[in-house]
Amino acid sequence: MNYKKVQKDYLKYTARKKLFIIISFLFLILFIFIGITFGSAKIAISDIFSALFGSSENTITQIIVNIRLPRVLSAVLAGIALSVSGVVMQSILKNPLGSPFTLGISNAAAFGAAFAVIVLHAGTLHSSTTDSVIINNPYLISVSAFFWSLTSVIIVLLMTKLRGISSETLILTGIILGSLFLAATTAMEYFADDMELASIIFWTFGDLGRASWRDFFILFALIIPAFLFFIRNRWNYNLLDTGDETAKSLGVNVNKVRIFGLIIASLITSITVSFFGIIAFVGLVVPHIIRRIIGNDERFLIPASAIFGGVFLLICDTIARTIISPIVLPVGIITSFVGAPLFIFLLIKRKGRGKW
Amino acid sequence: MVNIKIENLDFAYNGSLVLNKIFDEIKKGEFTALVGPNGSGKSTLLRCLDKILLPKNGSIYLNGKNFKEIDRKILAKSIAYVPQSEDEVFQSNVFDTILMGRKPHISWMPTNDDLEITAKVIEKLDLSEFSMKYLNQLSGGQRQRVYIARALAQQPKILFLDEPTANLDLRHQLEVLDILKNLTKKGISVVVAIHDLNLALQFCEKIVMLKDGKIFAKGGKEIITSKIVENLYGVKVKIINEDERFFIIPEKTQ
Repeated sequence: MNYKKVQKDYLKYTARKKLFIIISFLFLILFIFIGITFGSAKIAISDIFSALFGSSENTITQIIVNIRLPRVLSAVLAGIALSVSGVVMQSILKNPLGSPFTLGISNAAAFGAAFAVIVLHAGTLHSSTTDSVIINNPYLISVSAFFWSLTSVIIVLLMTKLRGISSETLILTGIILGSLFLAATTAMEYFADDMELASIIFWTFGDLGRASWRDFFILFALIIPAFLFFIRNRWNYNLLDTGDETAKSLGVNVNKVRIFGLIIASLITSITVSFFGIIAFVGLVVPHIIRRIIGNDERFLIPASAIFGGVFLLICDTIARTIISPIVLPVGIITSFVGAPLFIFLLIKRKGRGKW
Repeated sequence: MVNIKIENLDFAYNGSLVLNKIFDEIKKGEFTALVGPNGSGKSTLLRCLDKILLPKNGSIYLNGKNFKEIDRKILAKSIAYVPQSEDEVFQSNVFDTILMGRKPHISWMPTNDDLEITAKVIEKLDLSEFSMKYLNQLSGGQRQRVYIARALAQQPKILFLDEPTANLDLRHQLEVLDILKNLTKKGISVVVAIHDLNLALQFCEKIVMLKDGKIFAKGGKEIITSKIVENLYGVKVKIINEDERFFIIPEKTQ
């Protein structure tokens, strides 16, 4: 075969992946609109346009601008953060089972958030049933969540330094760490009063119900630069997939790429958890679905997972809001119910022995 | 012109010395065979020479500049390394894998030139029909050719290969060594760790023998005598000279 034909075949092959990303992006836009229209108050697509571009100040506009839009857009950002963190953690640790949840980072962040509220008094507690804790210092909560998530990251990193550690052992360590932090959170629950208890429980299951514009902007300011950082490092992650020796030989500063990648991934995970609680399985399932569709090339995997993560969490949240309407379920319950069986399915169907 | 100079190199794994006081130089366009028994330190030496491993003592210089002062990214433009094998957790296809060899030269996205270089290397190494296949669908020998191709796509000035012919059939052994020989004619230095002394004698002009982490002997083909091979491996051999081509035939172990 002539080299020109080889090159042409390759261009066709990458064009298909680019097309998939563009189509996913269009789906994301579509689902943002669908997400806004669904809910206990009926909203038509035309209402969205008049709310965004018109000057009407009616109730529907209020609902769209102040409730639905920040919630839907935050769902997209949270989906991006969790999925992209999952992809990066899998690549950095060369472990297909890596994700914020399975490495104990989500639970550590949830503990950190609860710790900030109870011990550092970052929230004001009151007895309203819909909103038991008012966060008056989201930064302190996020910082505490990040700090505790880093302890998980450091332990995981130290474990990888041990010779001959298998990927399963690493994940078991992560799950044990997760259980440990859950136990610590539970211990705080045991000594907490009713109002504090309500606030701690919030972090143990993910809920997008409190998303506000302030939350959205903080998330946006961190998640988008983190996403761009991962995109910038896409070749480095590709090379890490081939092994440390080859990566070093091709000019990758392996330790630096690994440590910074894990820190940034746990930063956006812990921020997401500190705002919305633990939304399990997104970071595990989304990257695997995308790996199956477009392969393991991080150049395409990172953006595609980000977009699909947004779509996935948006769909789960829309289901959570509507399935037993007017009761709104926490989205974490839906992602677990969808994610866990899907992941078992992926485990059964995985290609060959030990290959993904 | 000297490309690489190695001075007093020591390397230790967990306290035990694997390389001991290595001195050598690699000249431009030289084809060197690194030979020696299993565990003699061949792979470790190659890894030190690409800064994958950092030596305990001693220095390596690239055109007079100490390795320590050369950034890994810059080094990757000059030096390529082909490992014996890799264990990819996440599979990628042949083209993508070889395109990774262009990484040191790519700033943001691969250009058309990068793709063309990759496609040409694929053709050269007889991999065209597999270019869209995943690595786990290939045989050991095909995979090895992919790793060699990736190093060629890197367009290095010095190329280190760890047992490049180990998984190859006879035809591909010769083809790969021919390709490497041609590179040396273009001024690229090639060092191969190799077990097959006959191939080493046929293709390489310089032989470096390692034993227990030390240089046992080095020089041109003339250094290979039945006595030295016997001392190196503990095996009696007969060397046959046929029209200035040497063949080593093992007799029996001592």
